[in-house]
Amino acid sequence: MKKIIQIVAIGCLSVSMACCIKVKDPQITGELPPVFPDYCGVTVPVNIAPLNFGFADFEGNMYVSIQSNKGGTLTATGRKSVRFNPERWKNLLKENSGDSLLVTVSARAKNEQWVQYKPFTIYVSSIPVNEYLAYRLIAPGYEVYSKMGIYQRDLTSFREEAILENTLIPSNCMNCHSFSRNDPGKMSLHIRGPLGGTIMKDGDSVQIFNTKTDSTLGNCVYPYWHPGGRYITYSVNTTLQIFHAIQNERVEVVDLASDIVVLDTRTNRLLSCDLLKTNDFETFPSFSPDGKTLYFSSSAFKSIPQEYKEVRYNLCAIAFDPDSGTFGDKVDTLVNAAAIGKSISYGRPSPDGKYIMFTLSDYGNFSIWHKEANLWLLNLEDGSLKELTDVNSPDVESYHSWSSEGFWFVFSSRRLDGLYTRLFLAGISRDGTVSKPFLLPQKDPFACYDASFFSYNVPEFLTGPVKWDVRKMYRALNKPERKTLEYIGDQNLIQ
Amino acid sequence: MRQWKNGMQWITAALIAVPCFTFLHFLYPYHLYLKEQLILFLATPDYFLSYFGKPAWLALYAGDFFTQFFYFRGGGPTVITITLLVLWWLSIQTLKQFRVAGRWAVVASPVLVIPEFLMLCGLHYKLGSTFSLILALTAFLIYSRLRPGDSRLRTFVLLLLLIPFLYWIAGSGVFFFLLCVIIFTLVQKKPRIQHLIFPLCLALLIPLAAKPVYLLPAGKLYLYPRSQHTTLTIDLVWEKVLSMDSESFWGHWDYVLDLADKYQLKNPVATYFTNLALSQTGMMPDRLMDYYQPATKGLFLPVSAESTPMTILFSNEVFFRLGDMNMAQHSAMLGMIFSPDGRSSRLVRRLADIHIINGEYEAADKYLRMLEQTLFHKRQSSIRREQIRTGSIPERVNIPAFDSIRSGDDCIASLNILLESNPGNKAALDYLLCYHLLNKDIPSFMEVYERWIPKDGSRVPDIYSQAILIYLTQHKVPAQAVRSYGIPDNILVDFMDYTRLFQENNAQSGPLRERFGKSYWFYYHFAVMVNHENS
Repeated sequence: MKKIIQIVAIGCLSVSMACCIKVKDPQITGELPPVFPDYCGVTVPVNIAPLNFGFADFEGNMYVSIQSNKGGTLTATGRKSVRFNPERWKNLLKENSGDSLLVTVSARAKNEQWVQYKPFTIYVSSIPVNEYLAYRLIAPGYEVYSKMGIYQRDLTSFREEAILENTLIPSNCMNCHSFSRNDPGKMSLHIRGPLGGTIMKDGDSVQIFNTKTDSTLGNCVYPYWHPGGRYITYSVNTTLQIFHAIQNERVEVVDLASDIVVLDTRTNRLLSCDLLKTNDFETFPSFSPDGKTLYFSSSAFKSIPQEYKEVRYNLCAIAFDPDSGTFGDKVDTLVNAAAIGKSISYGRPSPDGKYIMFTLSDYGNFSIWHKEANLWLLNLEDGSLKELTDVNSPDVESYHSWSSEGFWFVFSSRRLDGLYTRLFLAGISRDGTVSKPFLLPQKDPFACYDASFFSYNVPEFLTGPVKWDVRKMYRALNKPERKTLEYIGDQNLIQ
Repeated sequence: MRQWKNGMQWITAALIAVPCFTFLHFLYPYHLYLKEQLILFLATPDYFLSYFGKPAWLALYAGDFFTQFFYFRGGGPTVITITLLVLWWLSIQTLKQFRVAGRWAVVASPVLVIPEFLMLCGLHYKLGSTFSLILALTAFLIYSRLRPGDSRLRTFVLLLLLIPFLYWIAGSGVFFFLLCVIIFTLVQKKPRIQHLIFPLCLALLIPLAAKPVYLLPAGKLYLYPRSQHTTLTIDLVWEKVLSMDSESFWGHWDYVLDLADKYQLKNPVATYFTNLALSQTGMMPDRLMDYYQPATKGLFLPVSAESTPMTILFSNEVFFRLGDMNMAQHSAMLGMIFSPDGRSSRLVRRLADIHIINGEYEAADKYLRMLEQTLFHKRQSSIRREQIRTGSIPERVNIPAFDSIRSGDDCIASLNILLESNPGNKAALDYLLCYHLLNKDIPSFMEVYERWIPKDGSRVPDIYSQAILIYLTQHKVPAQAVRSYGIPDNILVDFMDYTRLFQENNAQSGPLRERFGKSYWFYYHFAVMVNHENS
């Protein structure tokens, strides 16, 4: 009993000491603190979760003070990292919406003097980001079926929950989760494996489709919903996986053939036209916000694998009539990337239709393993191109998507260790000015990112959480019945 | 009487502990080493919290914590022996609650321990499963001590609290607990079976109710943490294979060859490690045919939908030793994904090594930091950090210097890339030559031989000499040209003898086996290529 009292007393003493950490006679340095994640000078949405941070490879005490122009102060202490009180953080951001916060970090390594670093700012944007982010967590193991899951993260807190894990459906792979205009109620999700099928969730209704038809190359992948919610465009691909020999490059997934189709969820028909199923490679389709244009990447046919480095995709567009489900009679090349020896993947229009953000790499479409892959912006109003240098890094930047208000976007990058993709958020103003990106905040960023064997993959913003009856979906998936699709391949042409 | 009972208890304890420890320590240690290598136990709060994502968090956390100690020689046997003794003691106490007389309780107690021991001998049975049983028995003893049978309300409340709690901390152990409760109720003077209808229904429904939380199929929810692949067998052949695996992982090549000589296993995985040891000791071209050779399946382990998690785990070894770090990383990553928990200390060490050799220090740092959070792999991390600091990374000489592409199963392309980058990579050269030989592809063998091995008068290894003679004979090369290959005289004499015997016996293998059974000529003529497309 005596021992227990001693242990409790020591514990209480430690806690009280931690609360009372005071910075004494600090040595002032003109350097910014080497914090992880790097939150110095970032712009964050007013509703974002606390930006907890710390020092890598550090043992000692940290004291962080956040001051606002309106007089409020938030402090936090810690040993390797600091965690802010979520309620106080929330209030501080609300009170300082549209203003800057000044963050002062002091640290004292074991048996050394306190060091106070140069303060840095965090700008609080008054524009809130969509509250949820869906993503897949998967080991960077090159297209294998093992442990993985689709998760949703509440961006206003640290709560993460599984939408679906393949522990529920062993030996099956999940990919291509997609939502209609960030609406969690309208979701499509493809399952590959013995229980294969495309889950289509519309409100409470769950249907399972077999998207492979006799006339198409394979199952439908890379989905993108039409803004009206009736259509989903996909590519159908025959792919080959090949491996590089040197350390800076790893793996390619190349198309042997690929076409584009549009699923009409009202009639269960797959629509396409001659211009979208040529001998060339067409992939990564998306709809414009007004629903009248279909964007996609297209490359001239090349022999694979001999000419894999010659495959270069341009950004193209074709008209689409949502009333009749027909396509235009010509394809426009919006960006001729092949002409400058580059390749475009993941063309994603902004919600206001002014920009298309895309990934530019040296060749091919597997930009997720291309260190040179960077994000670029096409201004559809004046046709100008801009590299997003403020968000790019020497390592991979690849998959990206927009928040529904059109200011925030998320992208995946391997910049932290060159191996695992992590998610970064950044803001972009109407004139195309981009803020410094910040790593998706975590309660303990070291524990979360360091100890994880999973990459964050295919991030998509959601306006709310996905709610579904897992049992109902599981039952539907385990039944052999799959809705089949009728292929209509000559949906030309809008006159 | 009491003294006699105590004596019997001690004897039973000894009868469990001594054979268990002796067997595991002396006859079965490599299974236990591998069990440790298949987990990665981190001493961090977040790692602890990760156990709450599935049922039986306490049983599994405790099980994995103690599995760490399998790292040491004697650690595994000690932990398992103590665990089984605890289980045995709890079994006695439980049997006593069933009104089994003390001496009979002692006699019957091993009934639970023996199958548990056999299951623990399997690679896929986790120590946490045994802890699940221990928690169930402990819960039952607490329940029985509270004597709830006297009050219907007390029984109801107690079981209402215990059953969900037990499922949460011990998973399927709750069903064992329930079985004990049923027996306990039946042996009472006035059994009140109706009291048990509710807990029975509760226990059956709880896993189903937990499905949306744990996201596991119904079958797994009722078994967790037990695996559907649990067996009750002791696999001594696999223990031999694992001994070769572990010794290869530690780089004890001579010992691997000693084991290969001793066991003479006809198993592709055993051959895989034997060939690796032959190549690392430079003896591959002389002794390849001394061992069972299932064509090229003993050179590379296929990674495909038909592969087992164990062969995927082992598959990175050959690429790592030959210098193909990209394929080693690919295989190691797959091995990690397919390991039971999706994380493995062995593969984290391997991935750290691969990235250090590749000069990708940021990626290596991630894995080294993980190792630093373990109890027993910290030292390995320090060694590797020192290696980075000094820049002394001799393995780097073998990694590919230029880019090329290949499919994941194109071993010939991998070996060619290694040779083009570093013609001095003898291990890769031997693998390529032996790959063609084991495929009976003499023209390809000669093409590689002529290209990479200079005719500088140095000794031609036995197996290569024998293959060259086949080629020269097939192409009717004149004697003068044969001499230019520098084939030793004894091989030439043997070849003439072999040819004569082969012709005299109408191509029958029997008369040739004794003298030439370990020659390449014998393999070339008599080995039957089965399922060759998968090799």
